[in-house]
Amino acid sequence: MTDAEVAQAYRDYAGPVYARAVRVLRDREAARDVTQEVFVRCFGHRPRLPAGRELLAWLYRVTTNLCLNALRDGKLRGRADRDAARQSPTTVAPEGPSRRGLWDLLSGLGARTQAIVVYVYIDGMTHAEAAEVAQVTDRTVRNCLARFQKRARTRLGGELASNLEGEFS
Amino acid sequence: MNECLSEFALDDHALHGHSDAVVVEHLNGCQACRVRFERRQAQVCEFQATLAAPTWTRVRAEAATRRRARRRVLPWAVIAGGAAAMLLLVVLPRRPPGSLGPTAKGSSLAEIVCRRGERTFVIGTGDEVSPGDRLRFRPLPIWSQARYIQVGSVDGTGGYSAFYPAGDGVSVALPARGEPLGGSIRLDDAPGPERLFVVLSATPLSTRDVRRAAEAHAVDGERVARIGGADVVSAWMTLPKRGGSSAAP
Repeated sequence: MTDAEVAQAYRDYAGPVYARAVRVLRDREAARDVTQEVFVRCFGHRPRLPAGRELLAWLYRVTTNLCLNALRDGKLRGRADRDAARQSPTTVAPEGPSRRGLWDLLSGLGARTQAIVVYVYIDGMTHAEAAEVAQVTDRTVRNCLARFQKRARTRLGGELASNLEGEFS
Repeated sequence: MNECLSEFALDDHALHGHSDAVVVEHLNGCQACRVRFERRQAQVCEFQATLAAPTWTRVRAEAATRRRARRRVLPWAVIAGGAAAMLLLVVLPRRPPGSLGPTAKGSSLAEIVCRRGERTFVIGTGDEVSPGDRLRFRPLPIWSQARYIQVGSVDGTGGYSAFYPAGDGVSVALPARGEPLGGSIRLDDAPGPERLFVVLSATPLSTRDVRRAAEAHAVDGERVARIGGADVVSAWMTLPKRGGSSAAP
């Protein structure tokens, strides 16, 4: 990709990347930081960047990794973000509670499992879609989800279903 | 959860798939997905109207900074790499010609355990094998996607003998981690080195395809990355042999 093609990719994909980062992080400032970093990396990977649906999948992978890093590093500024949203009710506000609790469920799992949990539980992907985006087999997706569910069950006890729904919806 | 369209499907539809009939049909019939799609569009528009331009300025500035940093570091990295290579050339003892270790070509994909009389030992670099030795193969966890293995040998005449599986068939499933393949290979008394060809794959490969790849690369000893249209990890392991060049199971 040339610089001009990266600029075009930014025009086409930055909005969806930002919207997705907001959805995963529920934090606008952190989502903007993630969006910026995603496209800085686009410049770094210019020679190898795919196009079309494959580019979208690549952007999902990079965005997911950066969002997980933000969750891990506790870089979320949810309170300031919600205050801003109250002052400007016409804008689209992040929904639901802070994602800080999400990291409690994901911490200790491998990076691939964490990403697959995000794809399936937050993005609502089918196993086939998650496999396509993560570049793994359906079986790996199933195994990763089983590992996560076992971990979540241990941490959340009998309230697994309702707690998961609250955390991920 | 997965009955409705995923966010990925909605993004794909908005960006590339306006003619995707399945998605359009679902959106027409599903109020929840329509709301999600409209919410997504609103967030995208909000970003385009308020954040896109300033964020792009930051992206370009950061990318330029990193590019400059890479340019500054690159010459030093090249110099440091060259110095390290020179140091290795000076420090590492040169292998005498003809003394091939078990991983002389490529890294080892399996540990080889040798049974000679009453003695059992793991074959290391420079160890010779002898006629009558029995070899067992313990695959190493080199490639996480590997599910199958084939092992064979090219003899001094260039002929290929399949060991795992023996004869025609398809790759055998990898045993549990740390476990050896079943059975053992007994070396015959023909002279010359044993050139073992080990192939790991995610799907079963036919012995015919592996034989063809082995015979094509036996001379140059190159690793093969694709066999029968599938990605593989392969390695040659050349074992010096006291008075022999071929092997039989």
